[in-house]
Amino acid sequence: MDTKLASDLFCSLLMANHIMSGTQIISTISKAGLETVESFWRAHEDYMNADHLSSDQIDRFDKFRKSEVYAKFETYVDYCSNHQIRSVDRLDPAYPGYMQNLTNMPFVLFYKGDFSLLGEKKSRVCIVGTRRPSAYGRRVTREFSEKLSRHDLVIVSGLARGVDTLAHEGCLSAGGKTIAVMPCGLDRIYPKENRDLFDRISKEGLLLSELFPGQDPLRTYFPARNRILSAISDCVLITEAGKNSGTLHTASFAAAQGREVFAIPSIIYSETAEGNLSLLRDGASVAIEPEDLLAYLAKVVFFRELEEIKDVYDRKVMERKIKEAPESITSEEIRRILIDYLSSCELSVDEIVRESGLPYRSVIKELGKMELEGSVTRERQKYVLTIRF
Amino acid sequence: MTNISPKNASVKTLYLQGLEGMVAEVEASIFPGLPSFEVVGLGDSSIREAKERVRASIRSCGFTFPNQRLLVNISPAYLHKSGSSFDLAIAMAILLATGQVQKQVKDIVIYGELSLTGEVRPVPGSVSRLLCLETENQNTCIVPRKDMDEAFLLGAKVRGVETLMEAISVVSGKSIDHGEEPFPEVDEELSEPSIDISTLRGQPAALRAITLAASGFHNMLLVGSPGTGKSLSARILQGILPPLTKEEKIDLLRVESSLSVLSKESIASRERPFRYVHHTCTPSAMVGGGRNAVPGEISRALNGILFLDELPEFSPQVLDLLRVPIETGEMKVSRNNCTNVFPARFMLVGAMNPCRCGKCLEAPAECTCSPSMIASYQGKVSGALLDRMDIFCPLNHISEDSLLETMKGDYSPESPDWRKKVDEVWDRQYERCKKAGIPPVRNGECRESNLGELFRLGQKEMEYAAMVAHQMQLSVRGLQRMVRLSRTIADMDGDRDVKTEHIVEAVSFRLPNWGEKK
Repeated sequence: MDTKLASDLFCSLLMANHIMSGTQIISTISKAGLETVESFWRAHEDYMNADHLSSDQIDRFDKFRKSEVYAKFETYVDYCSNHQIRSVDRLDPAYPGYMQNLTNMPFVLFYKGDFSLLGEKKSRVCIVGTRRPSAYGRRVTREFSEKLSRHDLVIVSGLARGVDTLAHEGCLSAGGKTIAVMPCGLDRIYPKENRDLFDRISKEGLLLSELFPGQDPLRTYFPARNRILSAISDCVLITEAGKNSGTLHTASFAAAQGREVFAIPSIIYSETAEGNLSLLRDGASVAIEPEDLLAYLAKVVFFRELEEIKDVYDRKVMERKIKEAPESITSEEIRRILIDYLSSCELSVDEIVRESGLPYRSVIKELGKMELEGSVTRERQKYVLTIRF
Repeated sequence: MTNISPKNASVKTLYLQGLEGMVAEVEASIFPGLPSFEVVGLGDSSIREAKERVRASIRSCGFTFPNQRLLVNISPAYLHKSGSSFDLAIAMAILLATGQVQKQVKDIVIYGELSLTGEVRPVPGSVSRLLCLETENQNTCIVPRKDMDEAFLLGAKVRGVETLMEAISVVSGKSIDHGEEPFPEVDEELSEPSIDISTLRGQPAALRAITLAASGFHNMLLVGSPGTGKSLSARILQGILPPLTKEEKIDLLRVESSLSVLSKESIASRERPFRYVHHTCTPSAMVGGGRNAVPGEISRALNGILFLDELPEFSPQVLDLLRVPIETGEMKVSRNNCTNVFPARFMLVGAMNPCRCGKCLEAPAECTCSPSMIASYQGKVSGALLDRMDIFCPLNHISEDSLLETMKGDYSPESPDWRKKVDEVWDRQYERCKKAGIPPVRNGECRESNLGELFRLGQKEMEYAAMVAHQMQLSVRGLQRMVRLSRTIADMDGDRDVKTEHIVEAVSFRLPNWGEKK
């Protein structure tokens, strides 16, 4: 039996049965000096008492202890691992750092597929919208999803009917990677007609859910699921949303979590896109072409890298390296050197080569990439950083 | 009544129509009657004047000019003809018709201009005429002695003559002896270029641009302030181009010989043409034209460099005429009811200042031009022409140190090595075309639309290139030209497939938004 999965499943069930909340579990674990969820699970009997729980919670735990799941817990865990479901919890180093910093994030995340898509170095765009898009909405969604995934971006959505489905499909057809955050346990498929897409994403992408396997989709849970959509994304794109669409929840979560919200403009008389228009009025960014999002993401990546440079980059060490072994310099290091030089003044390629001593080919390759990403531009034959600080 | 029947004779001759050598028949007929001399068959004034040259040279050689009614017809009579090359054929036809010369050989093909004393002078168009001879090789061909040089190069069997008397000897079956005279051999090696590529050592960007342009035969735009060595760089570019192949040399000589009589040196040299065109050039001088349609500068730059200095000073009409030949590799000129096709495969190298005062790039603070002046200066070169420039090459001042370096005694030039490298890269390109079953061309001239397959770009690379093109707002042509340049970069690296890193580098040579244009 997979003890990691078992302990996470156990915690998830505790939470689902309102026996303990995620924060309560964390505080219990830290108070008891336990380091992992596994040790908590092994010794859970010790904590299910009045020292740690209220009387209502104890009642609920007794009820839970009599349930079928508790009795056949091992079979349940095997059932989950047979479904290739795995898990990560907040005490895990693998739990994404950008989610740790947010409030109200799930204690346990279940997943199926390629977990590396949640890596810190990847850029993710969430594309969501109405279940009943117009022809315009369908076209926009597909086009943006395809084009963005060609830029090595991961497309995040909710596998719902309409826009979500189109976003996943567009991404997969362009050979990209996609993440679906499900409103049910990962052994369930919702909506049913997306079975093929579900299977494909489990093989080529990543399925995520905070709900334990076996949980049917809950209509009341749908809005809460949206907070995960925006939390794992760098920005959110709303292609088409009606007046009271659930999509607008995602937008407000995104705003609260500090993620940029992009909305596609449409005709003011369009009923299917009223939500978009009100978002735009409220200050959402306008997305007219995929490049609008790319420019924003380039900035995000740039600042992320800048943070790293400040920590790691040592000019003197680098200069020695250029002199002694110019071939061994990685493209990341070259980028750091270039940003370092360009942050003080604009320079031509010739000047950069002369100043830095780097080979011309490596400089031009990296500058070319940076130009396409939008982090540098050429003005009067000199390269200029587009992002000033 | 027997003497009333006319005495006839005819010989074949060759004349030039555009760049094509054509066969014509010159017939002479002598009737009794009042003495007169008439030439018919749509000849121009140079052919009408031939009458007097022919009369004088026949007399000065000691023959009698018929004192009867003399008619000369040049057929096909429905085509316009011009030039002085008919002189010798007319004289020979008359001498045969009067019976003063007995023909001892089979058919004769003969051409050349006559002097009043009976000397045979060379005429332009030798190479086209001699190429046309290949289809007429069973005949005895008599050409001006000077054309023997070209004939030797082409391997044509002809008899070169210096005078009308010598021509008569050949026709009467006698041999003539000019003694041994060396024919010009085509040079094996090119001479050392006047300016070496190491001059650009301090400018890696320009160095790379120039070697890429040479390796793929790409059009290039050099931009820099006055005195940064734009024309110098164009010369450097010429210096690293491999020598002309024999076929290319013959194509070029066909064009050159149609304009003038070739010197021995110009036949022997294998250097690629470098046409430095002045900005006052007229449309017909640039692309070909005139009353009898002669090839223009673009054809004279065949397989070499057409260098347009001060690009914005050219008339827009002239520049825009270049667009079609750049795409098709030939120029069609219609004159006198016939269409001439001139070859026009050249590398366009343009040079310009970034603005009128020339300082807006290197020393923006000193630039005295207003933004609107800069925009109007740059706007003189149409976007359509800029779109056809594969490589945009910025130039900075060449440092005095590197110039001095190249003048030192112990310095070794680098251009010859580059020339060899470029030659190898070209071979790779020809080889690939051969495998694909298309005529061998260099990347920059490739006119295939299916570049992905021919140039070995994977699906991923194609999509990447398309994405880049969209981002840079390139036209379809711009995209294709960028792909061609990527192929050249890959060829220089010796890679079989084009990778994204090659595309990334190619992008850096596309024209950016420069100056105030944005």
